[in-house]
Amino acid sequence: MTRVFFGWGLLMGAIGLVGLLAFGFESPENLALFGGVLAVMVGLAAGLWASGLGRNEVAGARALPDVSPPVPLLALAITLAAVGAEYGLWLTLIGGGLGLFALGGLLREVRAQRAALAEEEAARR
Amino acid sequence: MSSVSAPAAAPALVPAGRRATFVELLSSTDHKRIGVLTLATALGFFFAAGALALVMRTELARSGMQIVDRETYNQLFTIHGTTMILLFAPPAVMAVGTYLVPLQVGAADIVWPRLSLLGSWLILLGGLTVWSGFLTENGPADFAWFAFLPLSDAASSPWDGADLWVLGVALSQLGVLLMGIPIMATIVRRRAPGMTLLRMPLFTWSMVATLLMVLVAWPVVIATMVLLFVDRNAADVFTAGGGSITYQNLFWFFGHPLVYVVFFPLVGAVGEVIATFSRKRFFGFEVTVLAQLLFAALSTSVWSHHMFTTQSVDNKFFSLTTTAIAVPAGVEYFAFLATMWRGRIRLATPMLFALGFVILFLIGGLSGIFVASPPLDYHVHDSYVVVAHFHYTLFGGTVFGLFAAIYYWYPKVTGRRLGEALGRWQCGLMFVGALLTFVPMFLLGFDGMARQIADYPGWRDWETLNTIATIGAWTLAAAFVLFVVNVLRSRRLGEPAGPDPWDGQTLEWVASSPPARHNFGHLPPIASYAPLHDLREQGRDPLTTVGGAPA
Repeated sequence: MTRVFFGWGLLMGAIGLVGLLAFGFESPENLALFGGVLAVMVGLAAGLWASGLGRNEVAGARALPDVSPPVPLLALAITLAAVGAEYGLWLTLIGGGLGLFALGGLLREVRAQRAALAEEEAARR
Repeated sequence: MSSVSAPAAAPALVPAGRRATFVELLSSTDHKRIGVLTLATALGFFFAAGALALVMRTELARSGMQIVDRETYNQLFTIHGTTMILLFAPPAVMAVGTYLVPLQVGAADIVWPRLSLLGSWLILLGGLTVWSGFLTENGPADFAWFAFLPLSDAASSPWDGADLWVLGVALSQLGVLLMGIPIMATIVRRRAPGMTLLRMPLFTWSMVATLLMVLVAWPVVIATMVLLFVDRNAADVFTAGGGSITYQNLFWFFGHPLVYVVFFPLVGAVGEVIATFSRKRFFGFEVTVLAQLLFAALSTSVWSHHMFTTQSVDNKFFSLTTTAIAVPAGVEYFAFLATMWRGRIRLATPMLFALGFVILFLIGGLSGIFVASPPLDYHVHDSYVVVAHFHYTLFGGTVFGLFAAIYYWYPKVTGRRLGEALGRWQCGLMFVGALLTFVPMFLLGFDGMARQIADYPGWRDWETLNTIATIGAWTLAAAFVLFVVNVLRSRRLGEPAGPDPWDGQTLEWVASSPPARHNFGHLPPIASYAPLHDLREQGRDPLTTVGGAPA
């Protein structure tokens, strides 16, 4: 897939280059947006390639969560914090508090997930 | 609570005979439940925005103001457009992608399911934030779904509802982005052994093309909405100098790919429906995949065609890229027709919706070619021609495609079929309703009727065409009522579907209906983009053949 990101970024760059050379883009927004797409896609491809995350991963057991109640709470917290920008700091602080509570829950879940995976691997051995 | 994916079929999250608890319904990280939750959200917004459309169409049936005042009308078309194009369509395609992509690539689950769940909730809460404007003193935003400046600045729209619109759009589109990332990561990281890139199904490839656009365009709109909020409440960002053109560039850099983001996945879905119901392999698969990637690149290069009349953009270049879109679109249409050619076609409901998609989107696509020409665009800009054009692309493309997908995959999701007779009636009513509603808009637009107006002068003789469009809108409403009836009926009376009711061609059809928690007990060998079709050609039963790696 790394090649897909890279190739698509180059394609966008090529279309932008046609605009620049043949039509002499006048507005800076065009250069910024075409250049931005090229940079993001090539950067993403390079990052995936360098980290090895662009490769398909087929082997190994994975611990998967079944339910995650902190996630809807986190979404609510983000929404309240954002709407607080309109209605006042008090709402943002409530959102922030809920967000911290949700992040604590998520941390607990991740630890449980790691423990489940370790248990499974121990049982296999 | 966590479970560990294992080679054997894992148990369903909720054992048969037990209803999911409230917590399981709202916070399950199973990609299938997230997909269903998000689709329910999207359809809820669709029906709500449809109700607003009925009020507007009924108002427009006659000259003069009968039902709502002008200010309310402005609010109605703003929330209708915002809801349909931002809160219904992108969430709907992300829902279908979240449900299907892991199944189609043979994965046990989606990568980063919590991120996907967070995205789903942000879409719901962001959408409710937009709609909460109705609860404020001056009502919701009234500056249309693109919120052009200076109409959307603090001087023109100082009330709370406008700020809630900006915040809600930012939150909901952040949700869409967060849902898209896990789908792409699943395609990159979790394909089953043997599933090389060119063995991925057409729908999965269409999601790749879609998500490339989401990855580059959605951060731009989120940033733009944050800047607009700052502009309205703190400091000049766009209101100084030529900032309104910069705002339009940024908004349409998102707004035009958006049109294709809500269309591409359904091109993939319709392609799969056409191949399955023509009992043939999809014609020209590799070329179609390349065409989709080119289509996505061109779609991300045309945003300024919405700004031809501002005279501040490079009209020639954007006219060229817009017209060039006809090439990959033509390749896809050719592939659809060639797949049907000499196929043994079954005209079941999903296929009827797919054919409706092909016909109606063609009208939208062809009318798009002439508005790609700046002189012609100058003539019809901001008229009802544009309204008709984009409703043919969005209704003919997205809504017909979505219903083709819903009727096709509903048995997989629920284990029961939807009724064929009701489905055919729905499809027929939608087809007739779409023509009745949107063809008069072309004629009204050519006659000079401007878009986004609450009233028109009686002497213009536009009442007949507007009345026909209103009758069409109510016909569409009747079709959607039939869909609701069909879903409710199928819950009790629907025929059990089994794993593969349509002789499908892709991996999801070897999973049980509905699929177990970790999707597959076994996988067949994957030698092409249509592995089940391969097995049938070899005279083998796809449901019992085990030849691939353990799921």
